[in-house]
Amino acid sequence: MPASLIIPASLRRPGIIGALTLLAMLAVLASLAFGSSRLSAGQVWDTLFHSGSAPEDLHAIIFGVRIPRTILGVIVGVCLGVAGTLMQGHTRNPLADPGIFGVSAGAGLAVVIGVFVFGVTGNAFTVVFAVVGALIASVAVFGITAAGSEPASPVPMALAGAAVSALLDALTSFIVLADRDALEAYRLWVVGSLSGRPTGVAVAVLPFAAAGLLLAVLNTRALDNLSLGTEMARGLGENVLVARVVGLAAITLLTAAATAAAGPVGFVGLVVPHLARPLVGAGHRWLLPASALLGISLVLGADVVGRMIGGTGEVQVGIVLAVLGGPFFVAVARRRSLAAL
Amino acid sequence: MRILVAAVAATALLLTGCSSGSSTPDAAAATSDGPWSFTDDLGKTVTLDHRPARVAGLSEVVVSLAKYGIKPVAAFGYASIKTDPRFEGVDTTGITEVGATYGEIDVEKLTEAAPDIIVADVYPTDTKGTIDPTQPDYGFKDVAQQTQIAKIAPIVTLKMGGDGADVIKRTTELATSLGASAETVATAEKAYTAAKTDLQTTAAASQVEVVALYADADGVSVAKAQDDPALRLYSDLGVKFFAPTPEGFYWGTYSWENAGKIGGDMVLLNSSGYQQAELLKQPTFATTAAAKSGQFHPWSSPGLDYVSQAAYMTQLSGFLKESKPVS
Repeated sequence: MPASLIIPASLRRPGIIGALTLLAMLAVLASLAFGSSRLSAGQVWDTLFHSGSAPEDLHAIIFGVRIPRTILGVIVGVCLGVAGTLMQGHTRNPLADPGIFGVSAGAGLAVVIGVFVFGVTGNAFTVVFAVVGALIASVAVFGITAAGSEPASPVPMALAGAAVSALLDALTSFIVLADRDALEAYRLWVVGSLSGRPTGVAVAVLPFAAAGLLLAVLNTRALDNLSLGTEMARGLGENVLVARVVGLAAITLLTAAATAAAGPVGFVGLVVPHLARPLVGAGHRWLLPASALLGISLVLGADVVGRMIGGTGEVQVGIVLAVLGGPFFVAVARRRSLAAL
Repeated sequence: MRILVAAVAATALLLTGCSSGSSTPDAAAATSDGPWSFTDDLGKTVTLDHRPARVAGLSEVVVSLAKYGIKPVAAFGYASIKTDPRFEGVDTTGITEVGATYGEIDVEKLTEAAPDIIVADVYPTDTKGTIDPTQPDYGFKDVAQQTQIAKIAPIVTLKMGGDGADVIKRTTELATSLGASAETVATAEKAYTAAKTDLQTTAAASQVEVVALYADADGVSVAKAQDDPALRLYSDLGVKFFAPTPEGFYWGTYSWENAGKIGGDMVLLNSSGYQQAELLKQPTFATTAAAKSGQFHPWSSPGLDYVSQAAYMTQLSGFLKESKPVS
């Protein structure tokens, strides 16, 4: 990057964060301006700033659909971007995804149980079930590894997470193949989407997202130490167990919030850290905010694409990300040395 | 609402009357012997050395047969017998449920039920009524599953496309060939004709435009009346339907952003997906005239037979009388 030759590093990183903030703001504007209902920029502007006199249908589209959806996209983007970076930092595995601790599978099973056992179908209740399910799955994974020699060690946790996920997915299949209502709820939930969610969902997940972000901030310095290896981190006076538990709690809360709000959305947690690292380096003080901002841009950008390609209907953000994310990740993986963590 | 309850109660009485009255001749018919054959809507002729006494199949078809007194031994569908509104008024004791979600059929249980034939149906893929021969019948997961199940007993397939009146005729022909008594059919047809005339009269006097829809988190799918046999039948009787603008066969799909463009005065709401309260929480849909009027009624997709249709037409006529044009 030639710019780095001229601009001192101390100014370069804030500059990049500023540019990423601008990019995220553009994504927010695009999310307000574009949709499957083709409104002109003037109509959107008038509705936003003269909402009192705006026609009822435009008001409903902007304030009832696009603004709540954009807010949800921002929450999901921040949560998944930060969770992905935390996950890769803790596991020192460039292919780690926040879903690896069984969080998605736990949330999915809880949604299905909510419908099947308790007959809960309302969106706000589904959120509560998803969050609780994600937390239980994560605690179960932690509990399994806590019996081992090194508690909360990332690799055994990833293995336990895969095993727990497989078990929970099997239970989910068992229920949805026998009950139509559960299948319907699961089918809608399992494709990550920002569409059709009432505003209550964003409010319901916000506390979990905020708590997760707070823990992520507290975890920043420990993550930098841990990236030097467990022994080195101990040598630097880091309490590895505490650092791991705080990190795990942050990842779980953030992923649970995002998953509860939009269903499982893939690739964001995986790709964002790889985009952020070459821009701001491996230090988590810069990496975490860069990941949050890139997460917003990626989720909202993909959602806008999905709204524009479906005619009068739409394509869900989860599908857009899966389709775009695959080749994109291959390109990233080929260009950067993945071992350089 | 009271009218609706009364209509449902009256229908239930009618149904019980029908089935109990017809039990004796059916029992006699079921014992009649001799070779049996039926050419289904895919042109396939099923021949057996006796009239099939044990019938299994897709719930939306077996329900229609049950209304004519042909009691199925097993049923599969995309809902359980308990929750499928089409089974209302049918005595379900002795019917083994062999699948409660789409394509999940317990082959072992179905084999144990020892059916003589399995009834299913198939939906066209376009307005012209094209049937895709590479696809399995409706209700089967894939061709492999259907092939496996066809080994248990031959499959008789009815086509759920085109004019609903023709589909009803075919269902009735199948029921008659399976031993439904002429008396049962005649009684049902009489009630159907009366309900049809009533609906026709109501529709002629009503300015209400009906919108039949299904909704979920992805948006609202509005049915195209000409592509659904039953809705087409009601439309032919003079019921006015809102025509969705989005392209596509059977459904016109609106994203939630576009849901404010849905017209019509009275909603016929699919029994699965979002229900009234969830629909009204969507700000765009809430701006539509139909949503504001609160004129919501169930669209239970009743079977295409005289009994089910007479009952639903009577209901629909009641819905229309209750509703006012608002758009």
